[in-house]
Amino acid sequence: MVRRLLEWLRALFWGQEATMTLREFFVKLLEGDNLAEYYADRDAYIDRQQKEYGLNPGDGDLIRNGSLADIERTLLAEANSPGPKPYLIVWPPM
Amino acid sequence: MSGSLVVVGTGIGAAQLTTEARVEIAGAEDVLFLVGDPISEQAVLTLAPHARSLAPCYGSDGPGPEAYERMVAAILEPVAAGRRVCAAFYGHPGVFVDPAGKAIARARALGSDARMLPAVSALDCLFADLGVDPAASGCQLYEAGDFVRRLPALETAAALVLWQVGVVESRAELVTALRRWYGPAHELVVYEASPYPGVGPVVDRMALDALDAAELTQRSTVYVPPLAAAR
Repeated sequence: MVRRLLEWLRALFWGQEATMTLREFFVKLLEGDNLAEYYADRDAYIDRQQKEYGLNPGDGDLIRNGSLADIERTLLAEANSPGPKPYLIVWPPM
Repeated sequence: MSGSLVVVGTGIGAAQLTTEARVEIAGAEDVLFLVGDPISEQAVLTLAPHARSLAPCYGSDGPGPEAYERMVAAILEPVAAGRRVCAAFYGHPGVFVDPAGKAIARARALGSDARMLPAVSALDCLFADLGVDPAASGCQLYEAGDFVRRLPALETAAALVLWQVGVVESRAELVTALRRWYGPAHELVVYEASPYPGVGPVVDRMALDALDAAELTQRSTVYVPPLAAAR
């Protein structure tokens, strides 16, 4: 929330575009009817996130065509700054 | 006053969080969670901003009995203090989640109500993504390291699923163990469920002998189709 507000203020006063991270893209998918819209027309939904929320075109391509490993790598890179780090869980049964 | 514990799973991805799991996470006084991706983490924190991650319990030694014991202790502390607690784990909380079952057993021993809710596991995703029905031929499940150590007798007319193939100590030993039952060219699938909506899973089909050199991750699962159709 605070980050989005800062981005909005930056865009307002300095003309810098707000940017949506890959993590924010996937988090936003879980809100309201977004997941239904995404499944109904994936390309249109991604285009809209690029135009309206500043999703990086490279990230848009990644969501469209990237492998699971590519996406995980990008999320990891994003998480090196303030966000949470993804971690994998291994549960040895012994 | 006696506290309570509900253990839930967040599914493989946050979009798989069930309605009843959401209700328990949102309604608990204390929420402790351990999830596998940042989207699921955010989903839990959106429902319960006061939720605390169990990841620090890993400490410097990573997964293992000590870490799991610390998780159980962290979950039980508020239960013992009479609070309504929810513990949320990645996938299904009853599958490969050592601390979940222990926490429930110990909470009950304290006289508290404790229960587990089902969730979507990697196995459920595998059946959907590979289009296989375990009822068609039967299905055997083993943790890969355990499979190599115990060398159990297999029913080759049934499917075989091996968990955690990416962290098995010796891939060559695993291939040798499988070669006791299957030919070198028998096709298997290296599978990894996707936590992200619209992003495909990893589905790599290969001959058994190619498994030794295959690219695997900690979340890789191997599906071995039956040798012959079930009767």
